[in-house]
Amino acid sequence: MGDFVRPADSSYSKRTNRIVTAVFSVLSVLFFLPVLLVIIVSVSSQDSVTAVGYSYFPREFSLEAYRYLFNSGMYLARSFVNSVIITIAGTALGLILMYPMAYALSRREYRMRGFLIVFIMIPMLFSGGLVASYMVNTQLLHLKNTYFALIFPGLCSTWYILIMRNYFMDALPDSLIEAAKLDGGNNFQIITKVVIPLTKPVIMTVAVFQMFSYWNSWYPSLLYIDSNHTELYPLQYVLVNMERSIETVTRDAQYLTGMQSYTPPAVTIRMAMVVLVILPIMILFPFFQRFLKTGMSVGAVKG
Amino acid sequence: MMKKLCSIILIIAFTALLVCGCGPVSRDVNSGGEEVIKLRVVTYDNGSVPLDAKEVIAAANEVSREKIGVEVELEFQSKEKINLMMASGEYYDMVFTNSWINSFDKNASVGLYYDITEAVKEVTPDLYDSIGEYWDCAKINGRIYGIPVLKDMGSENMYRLNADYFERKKGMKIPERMTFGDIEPYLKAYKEDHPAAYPLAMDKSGLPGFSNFLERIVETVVVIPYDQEKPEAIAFWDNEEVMNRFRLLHKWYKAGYIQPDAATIDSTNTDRSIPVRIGVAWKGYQGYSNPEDWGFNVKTSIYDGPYISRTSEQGAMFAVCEACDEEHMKACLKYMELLGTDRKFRDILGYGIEGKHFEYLPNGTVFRLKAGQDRYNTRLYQTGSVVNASVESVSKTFLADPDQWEKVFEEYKTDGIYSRTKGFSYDPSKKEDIIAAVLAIYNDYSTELLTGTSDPDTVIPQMKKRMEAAGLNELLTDINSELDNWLK
Amino acid sequence: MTLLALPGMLWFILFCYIPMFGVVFAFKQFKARPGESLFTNLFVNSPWAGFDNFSFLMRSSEMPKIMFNTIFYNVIFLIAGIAVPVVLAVFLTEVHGKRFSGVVQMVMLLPYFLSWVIVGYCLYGFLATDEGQINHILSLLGLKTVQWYQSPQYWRGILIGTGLWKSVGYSMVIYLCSITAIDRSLYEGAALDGATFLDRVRYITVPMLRTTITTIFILNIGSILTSDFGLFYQVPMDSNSLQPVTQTLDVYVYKALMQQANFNYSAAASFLQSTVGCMLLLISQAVINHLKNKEGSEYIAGEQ
Repeated sequence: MGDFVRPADSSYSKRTNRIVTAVFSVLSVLFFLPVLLVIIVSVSSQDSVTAVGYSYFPREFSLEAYRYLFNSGMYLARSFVNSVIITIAGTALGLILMYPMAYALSRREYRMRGFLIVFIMIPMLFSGGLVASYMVNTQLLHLKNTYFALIFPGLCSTWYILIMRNYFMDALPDSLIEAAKLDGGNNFQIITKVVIPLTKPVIMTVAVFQMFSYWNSWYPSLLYIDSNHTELYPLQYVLVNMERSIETVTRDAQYLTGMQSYTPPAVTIRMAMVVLVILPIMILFPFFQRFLKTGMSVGAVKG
Repeated sequence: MMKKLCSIILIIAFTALLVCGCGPVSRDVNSGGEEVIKLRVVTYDNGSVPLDAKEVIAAANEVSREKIGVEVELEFQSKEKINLMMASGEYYDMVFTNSWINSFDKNASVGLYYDITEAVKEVTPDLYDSIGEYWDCAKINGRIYGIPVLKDMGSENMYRLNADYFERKKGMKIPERMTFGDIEPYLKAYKEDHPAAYPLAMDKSGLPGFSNFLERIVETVVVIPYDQEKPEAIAFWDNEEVMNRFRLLHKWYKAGYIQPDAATIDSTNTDRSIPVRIGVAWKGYQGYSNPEDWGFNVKTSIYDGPYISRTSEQGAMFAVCEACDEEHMKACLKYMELLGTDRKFRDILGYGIEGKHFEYLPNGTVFRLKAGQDRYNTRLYQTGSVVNASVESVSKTFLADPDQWEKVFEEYKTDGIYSRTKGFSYDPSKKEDIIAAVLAIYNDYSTELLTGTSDPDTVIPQMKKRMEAAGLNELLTDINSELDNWLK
Repeated sequence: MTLLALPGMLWFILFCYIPMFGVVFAFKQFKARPGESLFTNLFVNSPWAGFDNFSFLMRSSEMPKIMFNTIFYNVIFLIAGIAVPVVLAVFLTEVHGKRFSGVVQMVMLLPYFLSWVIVGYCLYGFLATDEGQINHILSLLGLKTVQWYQSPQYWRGILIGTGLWKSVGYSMVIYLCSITAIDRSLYEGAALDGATFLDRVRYITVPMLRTTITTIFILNIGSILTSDFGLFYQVPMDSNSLQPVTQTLDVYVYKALMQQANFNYSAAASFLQSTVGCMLLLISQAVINHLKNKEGSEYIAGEQ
């Protein structure tokens, strides 16, 4: 669990602590209520949703939505594996690219620093837009219908680089790095031996956000994976695809153009998909929080 | 060390990427010594990708390779992806195009499509004959740029009612035809019996096909009514019939016949109790009426149509890429001809693999099996001629008429109401900025107008004022001057 | 050092700088002929359009209102989006129960992972006219029910609340992470000196968070004309009646181009957003640098 200030060091009195705890409890409940609604609707029956709307107290429970989602069997398993590959590769590669860059940016003695910051800030403001990046990725880099198309475009973010850099500037005193240099370490040794252990919290924070953004991303698959390469689809895109097909059935019904009469439980399926998205977060988050601890040896070196 | 490691990883990754990308680029690769032409055909995915597409296409390719020496790589793509592909100049051989996505008129006037006027007569006379008078909708300035898909070429709007309730229980006769307003007593009767229910199904997409009795020039905003003495493009609110219908809708909304949140909900589809639905289909249409599914017998009553206009005829088309060489262009035409004339072959792309995705019923109609419903559930228009495919029955007992299309096309000849300006197309490229601004304003009001939520007599003047400020009159003048030229 | 940054720079060049030729689309009537090189398509096949692509933005008489909405919401989110999570993070840091603190973080982070479409559905569950939770409560209390999706007067508040609800947890985790960088001996020393909680916040925590706060502030200022499309389009379910308070620049562009895609126009709109953002960013950078010189500490960009 996040150990920022040990209870003994906390400046809260017992009473203040109780008040603050109460306030946060109320806030958490408020934050959680809509999510709870999603979970409950996902296990409600379609008839119940039609009759009483999105309600915390459905008339009838049903797992039909989940059954519908898991119906595709092997196809879903394959896409799950794809998602895992993409997520791991994207997170690892992203960190490998961003971390050293952020470190370089945080060192005051590095002369190119100003230029580099401007260099990474410009893409945040100006982008060529969808058509241009589509043209580059398909016609120049030939990423179409490969895993790379799903991994490369989202690797770096100016935002995370700056967050890491700020962290480095706060958590790594110059004296520490200089001391390490005097001991004869080169950049690589300094990073692995000194910097990484001291900056675990920010590494984990960025890693977690990066992980979940890869886990949830489906738009690149829509753009870069054609319909005859379904074997490359990640899980999220398969789910989105299912949802869209339900929408199609719905729309056809509106215009009476389709033929089918079976209507999948659209609302509950949509909610079940959300549960599938947030479930891994709820499972993995406690693990990640272990790393949210204050850097320990900083004080020692400084003193 | 670290630097080296990083750069090495990166260099490897990027090289791998470049190699991968440059490797198997599949277009224009003729396999071995055989003279097989491969085509990249891009069609609309209608919302989602059919899972078994690869398998079905492989089965279709076997037939087409043998018969005409052509194979296709058929891709189902979303609307945004087709737009992106067209905008970025990606290579394809044949693409899905029409009046509602990937605009045919716009792309053909800019010169993105191959002029097939002569070729289609020489290379594929059978295709040319089968489409007949409907070639008109694929013409720009008298030249043919696309191949229309034969389907329901006109639009008929209908009510679909719970016959058990209205006829048997209430003793109300459901006529074969009625007018738009004639439905009111039915709604009233149901509402009196069920005060908490909303008898008319309505969601945020609004009244389906509300402008079908008008020739649409700029979406549904600028239209040409069918019944004018001298055709003139007007804004839709200048048509009395449209306004009357909006007023009726609003009246029904206030009376509680339409659900109060109609303008925000996605669908009323799951609520099977709703007794009156509106749809756009064709005579003899049998979807959404299987009593086994609905729990009651369904009767339809047509209130509009069949209206036949350029927009309705352009419902689905295929066009050949302008950058194709002659050989590929001819292959595209041959492929479309095969789809339009060979029913067995047509059924493969339309319904999947016989025995797995669908089966033939004794009366010659098609019944989709479970795998077909789940894994290859495409609409016929996505893959080619609808008329040449077998007709689908929704269940083994509730059979469709295998010859329904002959009757529908016969009806178009006898009862069809034709737009007088059929064939006129407006080139929007000069006034695109006005069109964009006008459509943005239209979208600010349309959902509530089309669901009856807002009162047309208060909303339309606001909309009109804003649109005129955005240059609507300039646009109308421009369209009308083009129209006058065309009429001459 | 440069070598450390090199791989990242390479990525930025490939995936950000090369595609940046797309900015030119804003001034072009782009026509791509299939099968020809990118260069030919861009410079030979496509004629220049001057500022024509911008004119659809100027055509709307509502533009002042649209701009006001865009800037109004962005300014609110700029302030509240920093203040709220910072306050929460600062208070949460010193809570005694560590397990409790973990649960709070997770719960508050969850909304961040919901898509706007889903948030829209959730909200509909609360605000629906017939079956919505809020109208249920109102009628139980004997109050008049409200047709929420037709009542624009409530929606500025609803949108701001929803926006914060979704993003607060995320920012809070970032600030909590920054707080871990604070040397713990500082706190211990302060405790010995008898500092109260507020003293610690004022003299230790907030000064240490200042770099992060400034960075986030500056980055957000750069997107002052860019609004979260999902929040303003999907959350109000595109309800027409709400349009006076939900219409932002992105929503307008979407509505103008949803029937007929025109990539030149969207390029023009985003060029406008980028340029204005860039100018504001440079201005705020200058102001902050000015303050910085007074204080002697260092913020985001620029040489010393």
